[in-house]
Amino acid sequence: MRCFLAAFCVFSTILLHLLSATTASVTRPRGVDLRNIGFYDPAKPFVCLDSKKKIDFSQVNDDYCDCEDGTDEPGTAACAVGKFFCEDSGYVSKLIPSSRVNDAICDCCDGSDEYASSTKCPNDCMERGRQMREERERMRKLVQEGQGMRQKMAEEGQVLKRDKQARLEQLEKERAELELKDEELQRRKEEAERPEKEAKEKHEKTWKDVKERLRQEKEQGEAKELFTSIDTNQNLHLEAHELAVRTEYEKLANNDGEFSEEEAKEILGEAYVTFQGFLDTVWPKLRDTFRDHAAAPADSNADPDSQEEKKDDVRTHAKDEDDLPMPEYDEDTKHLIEVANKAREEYEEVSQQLKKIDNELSTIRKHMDLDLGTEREFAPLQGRCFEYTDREYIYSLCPFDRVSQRQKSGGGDTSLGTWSRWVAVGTNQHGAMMFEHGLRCWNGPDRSVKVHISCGTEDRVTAVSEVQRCEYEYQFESPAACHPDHLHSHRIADEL
Amino acid sequence: MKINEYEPMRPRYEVRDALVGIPPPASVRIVDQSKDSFTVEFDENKLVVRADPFQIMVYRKDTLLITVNSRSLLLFEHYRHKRQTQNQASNSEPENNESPDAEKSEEDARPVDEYESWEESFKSHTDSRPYGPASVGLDIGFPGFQYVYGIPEHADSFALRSTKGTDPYRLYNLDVFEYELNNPMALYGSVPFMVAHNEQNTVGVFWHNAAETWIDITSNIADKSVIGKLRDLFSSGSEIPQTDTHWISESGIIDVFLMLGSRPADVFRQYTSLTGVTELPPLFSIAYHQCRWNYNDEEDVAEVDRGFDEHDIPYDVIWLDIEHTDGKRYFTWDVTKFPHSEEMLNNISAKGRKMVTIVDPHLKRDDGYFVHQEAKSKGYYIKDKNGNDYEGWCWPGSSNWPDFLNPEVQEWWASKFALDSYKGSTMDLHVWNDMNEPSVFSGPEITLQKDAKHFGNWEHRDIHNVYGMLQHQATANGLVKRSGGNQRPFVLSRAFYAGSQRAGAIWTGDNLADWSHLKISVPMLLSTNLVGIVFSGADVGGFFKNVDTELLVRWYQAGAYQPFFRAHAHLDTKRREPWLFGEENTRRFRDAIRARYSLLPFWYTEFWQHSKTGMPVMRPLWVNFPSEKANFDKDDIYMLGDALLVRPITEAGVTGAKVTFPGSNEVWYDVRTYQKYAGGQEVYVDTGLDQIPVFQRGGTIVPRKERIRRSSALGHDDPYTLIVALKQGASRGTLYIDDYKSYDYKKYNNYLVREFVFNNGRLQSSNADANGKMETKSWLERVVVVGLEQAPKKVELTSSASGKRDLEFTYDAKKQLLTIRKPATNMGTNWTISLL
Repeated sequence: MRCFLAAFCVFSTILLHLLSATTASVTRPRGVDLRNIGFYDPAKPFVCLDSKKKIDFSQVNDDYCDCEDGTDEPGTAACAVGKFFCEDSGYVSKLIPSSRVNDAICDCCDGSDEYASSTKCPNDCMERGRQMREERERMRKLVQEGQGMRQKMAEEGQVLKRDKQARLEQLEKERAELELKDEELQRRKEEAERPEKEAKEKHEKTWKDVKERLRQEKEQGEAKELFTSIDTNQNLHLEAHELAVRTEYEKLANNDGEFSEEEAKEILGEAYVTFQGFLDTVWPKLRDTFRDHAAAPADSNADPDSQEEKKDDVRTHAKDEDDLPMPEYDEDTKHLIEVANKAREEYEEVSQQLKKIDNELSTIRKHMDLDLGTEREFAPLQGRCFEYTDREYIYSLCPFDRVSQRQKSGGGDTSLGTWSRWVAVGTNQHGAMMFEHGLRCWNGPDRSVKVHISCGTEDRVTAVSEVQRCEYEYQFESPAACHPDHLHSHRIADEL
Repeated sequence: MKINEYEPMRPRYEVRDALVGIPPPASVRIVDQSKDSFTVEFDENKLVVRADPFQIMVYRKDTLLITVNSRSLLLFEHYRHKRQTQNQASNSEPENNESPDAEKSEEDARPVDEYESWEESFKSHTDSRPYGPASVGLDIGFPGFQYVYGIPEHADSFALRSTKGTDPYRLYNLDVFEYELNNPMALYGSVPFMVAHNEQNTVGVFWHNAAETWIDITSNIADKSVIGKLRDLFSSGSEIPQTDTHWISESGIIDVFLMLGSRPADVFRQYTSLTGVTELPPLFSIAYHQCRWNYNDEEDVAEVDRGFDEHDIPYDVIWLDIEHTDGKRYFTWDVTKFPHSEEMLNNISAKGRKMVTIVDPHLKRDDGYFVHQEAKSKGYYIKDKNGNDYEGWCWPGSSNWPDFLNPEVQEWWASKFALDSYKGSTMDLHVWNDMNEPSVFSGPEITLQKDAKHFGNWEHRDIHNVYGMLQHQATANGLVKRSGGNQRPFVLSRAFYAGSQRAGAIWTGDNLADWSHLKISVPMLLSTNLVGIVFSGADVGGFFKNVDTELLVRWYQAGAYQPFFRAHAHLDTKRREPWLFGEENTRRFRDAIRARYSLLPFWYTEFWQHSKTGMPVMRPLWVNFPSEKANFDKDDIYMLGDALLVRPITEAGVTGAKVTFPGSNEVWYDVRTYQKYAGGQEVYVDTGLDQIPVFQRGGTIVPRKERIRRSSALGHDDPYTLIVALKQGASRGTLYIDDYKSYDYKKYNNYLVREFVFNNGRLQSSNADANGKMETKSWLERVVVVGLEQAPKKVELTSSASGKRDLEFTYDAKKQLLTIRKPATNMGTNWTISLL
């Protein structure tokens, strides 16, 4: 029993003496949990605490397990499921599996578990208690110190939130106005574009007709030229035998190297054709070959390069009418275009402004939606990055964004993950940060990182380890985590 | 029988490391002798030897058991000079020039180009084969035997299959990546010992050769066509079974031991009298081992150690794989991850636990590395064909391999384990020899070139299969020496050969987290147990790939009933310590491991029995039930010693299994529920995910320790429970106790052998070995009598120490179960408990 006030101590000692004077039942059988002491009365048979079985009290702690729940042997190792109570006065009481009683290992700091063992266990509960209280005090101070900083961070977070909120509202207002303007300008733009489009189309249609006429005339000329060159007897009838000497057209028949009159006739469709007939039915068949040959006259001495050039010339020639520049629009059309251009520019400008506002809005909303702590105390960490260097790597942590590593010796960043979510640790909803979907490991999973956060007066990464293949853990300290509710962080959990 | 070359141009290799001694000659009677044959008799056996054609026939009484060379496949390729052979090939021994695999490829039996046989290429490797082809071969027949077993290591059924139409079984120690199942391919170990068994006789053949060996098996029954089998169904007399085997080794001599049985136990005694037994292991080594490639650093080790305690799961050994070293330089530590290895070891051993570190044979070629420096300067390395230190690639990069054939190298290697040489080690550190086939990443088939040179001018081809065993033995010797000859070593090896049992444990190498690999672990371990290597196991969970939770549960349950019980996992797998799969499964893992711990007294006694008799610890049913032919090919169920029947669950999603209860006059009891099953039947038994079907045989007494501590050492003096399972009102059992760790049992008779006999309502404990002089603090906590049909009125203890006294008891009539409370007699005393 620990005494905080001398007076109370004296009182309780007297009380204990009184009790022991009146009944013997206060002698607690070895290993019994203080809370269960009432169930162990030497004057009565013992009932297993799961109430299944009654045994003689002499069989309590007689080194044989009688109760299925192990409660008859709290002070021996006889029961597989038994529990031994370490009172550990001065430190923290605990229950240990009764298999740890008299196994030559000191488990209770008061040494009570090794009462019949080859090992002598010192009682170091006072020392441990002192260390625990010191550690608690240290933590308390740390949290106290950190709490102020946390408060500042939370305030900063709130200010940031307010600023963002204000900006959001402002932007939304601007956006509403702009949207009206945008609609009006769009209407105006469409209005200006309608007559512009009509005028332009009209102009273009006229030009297209002109071009078509030119093309037909040119083609007729070519056909005439060919007709005349084949019609060697100049009887204005193109006969099969005349065509048959023009072997370059043989490929239009069966291309067997012999150009018979029959084949020529097949191309002509009849034994002979007049120019009109030629133009309608034969010319379209011969046209490509004619143009190819016109492009490459049978001049075998010509060097390939110049031949190539000529070919190009002809092709250009053939497309002449397409390449002719369209005549300028007339003045009326020009005016219409000018008006439309202006309307478009005005509309475009407002559209851009809208897009910019939308981008900013989305960024702000994303920020607003982020869980940045119960009081937005983690907000100041957003947009910052922290590094930790070990033997081989430099590890980076950008809260709410990404984590990565790179070799000390240089080389690129390897993504260990991007922001995923908060992970609760005990009751602390903001105990750890999870980053996922980093670069996939060969033969393994995507890399991922769990960032444990504990109270510290500085924002810093204190350790990084690869707990298993491609699953990393960061230890991160920040004042943002300094909250009295979370004082029992993992660091002192071990002690308790 | 031994056949060697007469005046060979160079000596032929004879294995010298497998035998513990040559058996003493026995006298025989010559009963018949003629110009070309003679007959001798000894015991009930008769041996007929014929000269032309050479043949040996072995009879027991008048039953022909073994024939040698009855198919005239005897082959002996003598050493030749290259040039000479080319010129004289045709007249140099015309009847014997068939090549080792000529029988396999009769269809393309073109004349063998002698020149081709001088040099052989495999991928980019060339074997110079400087002495030419030098194989030996022989056929051995087993008339009257349908089943043969043994010749591990193969991932195949326990009863060997006919190799007609497949490759022969191959024995050539190799590091096989993701090995295939149901395949006669070579694996990490080779033991050329085969056992044939039928209802009347059990015989064995030991082919004493360490070179690459192939064994073809044909069987008149297995090879019969469907029509042939149908015909047998309708004809009255079925054919006499016969199994024929054909053994071929690449070099060496023919040196064959025939073991004539006649009972299974006789063959085990005969074989282990040749190659030795598994020495009694220290207790911690048959408890549970926790391994992973890799436990990263001291903090990781401490956390895993703490994890077991937090989840109240016992374990005895934590392992460190190759990453613990400084750049794969064995005998060193990565000082950034393990700066305080001694302190770490002491923290582990403070709880009675041990650590195992890996020490592979390949040594990094780094002049700054003291082990390499010494080996190099002393000329201790294997040489290549040109006489330079053989160099190859392994974990550390460019490496050399110590030549363990040299006795001086063995001594030197052993000395490396001394505490002042292996810095940062303690007496609680034990060793794992991996990659000792040897594995050479850059070599042919991932091993050494066959033309590499060893001490004594032997070629690697001559000695390949013993290399790993020599490292294993040298390592074990090192650990014994380290303790001044006082402490028993524990060394695990991946490669093995006949005799490896003397050095310690082996495991089945790099298996896969797959149900099929769990299933195959049973026949694989039955095979190694059959050949004396009883301390063997398979990686629990499967080494490669992530393991499914249900599979891991079933694997722990199975592994708890296999001799070497270690969980292991590949570097690329997710962590799988037994508390990472949810509370319900943590409980299942805990239960499985605790079941192992409670039976440690039984396991320890079984290992002791083996060391006395050569009997396997893990046994096929036919060892205890030799005449039940229907069970001769069963390999999904097995016995532990004489007492426990184990049927591991190796299929996903099942809630029950068919269990074969052998012995028509036997009775079996479920070890958990004590439900009774009659022998000689097959019963469907419910087995939810919490259970593995295990049964105690009526007529046996199994000692247990039911107090489960954090490690086996902590329960040293804990009391015992005896499970007395009755068969016709009687049973018996044995318990062996010593200090569980030292050689004092040998040196000072510091041990106890207790025999328990239950008969006529009396359980009696007596000293079964008067030489045993140990005193123990352990006592008898409880006696459970199973299968007792009537409640006693009174239970009375009579002991030499305390006279007569009544004991409390409870009786469960439905379960026929009597539990006697706290006799509390010292285990070393004589006493009697009478049921009145």
